[in-house]
Amino acid sequence: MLEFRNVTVKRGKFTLSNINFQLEDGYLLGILGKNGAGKTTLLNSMMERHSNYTGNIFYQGIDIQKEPEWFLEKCAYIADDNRFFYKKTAMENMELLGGFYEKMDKEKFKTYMDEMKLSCGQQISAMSRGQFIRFQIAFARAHCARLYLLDEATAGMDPVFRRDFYNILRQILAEEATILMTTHIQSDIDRNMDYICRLEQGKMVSFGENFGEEGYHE
Amino acid sequence: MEIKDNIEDKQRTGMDRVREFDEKLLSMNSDKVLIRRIVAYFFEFLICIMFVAFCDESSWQTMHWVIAIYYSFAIKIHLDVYMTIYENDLVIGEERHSISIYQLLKKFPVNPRDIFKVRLFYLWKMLYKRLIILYILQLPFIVYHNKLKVVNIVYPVFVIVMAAIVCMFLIRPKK
Amino acid sequence: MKIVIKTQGTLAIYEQIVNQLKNAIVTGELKTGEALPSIRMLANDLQVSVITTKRAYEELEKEGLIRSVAGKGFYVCEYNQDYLKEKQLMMLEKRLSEVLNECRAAGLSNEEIVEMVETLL
Repeated sequence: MLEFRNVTVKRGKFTLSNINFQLEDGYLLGILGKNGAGKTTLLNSMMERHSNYTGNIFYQGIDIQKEPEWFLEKCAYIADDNRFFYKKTAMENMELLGGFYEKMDKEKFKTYMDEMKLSCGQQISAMSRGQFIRFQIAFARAHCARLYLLDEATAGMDPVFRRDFYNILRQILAEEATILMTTHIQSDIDRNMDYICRLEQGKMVSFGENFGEEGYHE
Repeated sequence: MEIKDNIEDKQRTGMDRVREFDEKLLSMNSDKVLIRRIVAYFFEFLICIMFVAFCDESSWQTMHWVIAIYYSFAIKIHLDVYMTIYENDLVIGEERHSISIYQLLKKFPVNPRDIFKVRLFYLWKMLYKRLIILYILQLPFIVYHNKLKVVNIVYPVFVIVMAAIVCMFLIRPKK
Repeated sequence: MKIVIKTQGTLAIYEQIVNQLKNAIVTGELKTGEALPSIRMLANDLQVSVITTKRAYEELEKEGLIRSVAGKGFYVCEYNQDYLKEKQLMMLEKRLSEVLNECRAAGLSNEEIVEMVETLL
């Protein structure tokens, strides 16, 4: 379970205040908010080592500030501006950067890349946005990530692609891993999402179950 | 507590992982590194010649400082492959042309302290070798002027330590 | 059986699932004792969240139409089909009278209403 308890993050002039929620394993949380509402700040607060926030973030009952490597081992941050060696191939990147993960498995990586119809020998610079995101997902699955943070991963995806993408996410959820997805597009809020959280100007204005209605229950 | 044990194991192997990564980084940039090293060594060689040629009683201290400053630069060049990743290798964006190794590995499960410790080790290896060279360089001076004082032994160490402090400042973890 | 989800309309997805499954049970399409797909499998097939299918199954369980067996899944209950049918008829009657009220409020006469129903049938 992922738990945010009274988390307030200050980033320059921007403040993300009083974030509180609990999310059990195996569920998908959609985070909706305009650009600047605090979505990336929310995700980044988990990824930074000496995070400038008050309150606590617990994962599986452990304060992530107290065990940053343990947490980062399990966590995967996926975005289209993540840094990889652009001139190197997918496989070379896995070999270079995968070494930091205890559980990184080369064979699993190859399998996942195949499943997502990606070539290990393709240069990162030659990948489309969608392919780059899928590569990062393969990388994350290969090191047995348990918590996936997807930052605007579905932006610009056509419906067919989006359906395939959710099928991939479903496989991850079936393994009891947790996914957080941010978007600034209302229509990206999908009936596949279990929970929806809305951020506005640094505040969490709602958090609730998604039963597939126009709005959602709280 | 189970997690604590795992953490201790990882700290032992954390530095190993950094070292493995460094090796791969080095092999990735081997031609660039070779050129830089040749250039840096060449200038170090030149400055050693200068030291022996110009070192006399009055300039002795100054020459030590000159050589130490030069060593700081040379070491920075040697270590650069481990400290900086350039735009050519990563698309960095905005107006930056490079990022530090710490920034690259920020989201990875590696403690910046482990990264720093491994680089300190590289630094140490470079410095003690140069300290020995500095002692050797002084031999002509000592023999010629027939002087061997405590300061001859201590001063090089002092100067190398100053160089070390400058280098440590350059390789420290930063955002 | 095939469940069809309509993305437009006033019914929430979980309600649509509940209704269609209920219908299938009442009409006998789903036999008593038959195993239902797991919450996750159903979510996969229908491309909806597990929260949705979980809620649907919970509703059906509340109404006594299905039961969960620990470690095995959900099964259709052995139930009095007539009783269920009667319950369903009552619900339909209620909804029909709501619609009729709206028709009258819109100013339609009884003949116009009957005409409308006949064209739709």
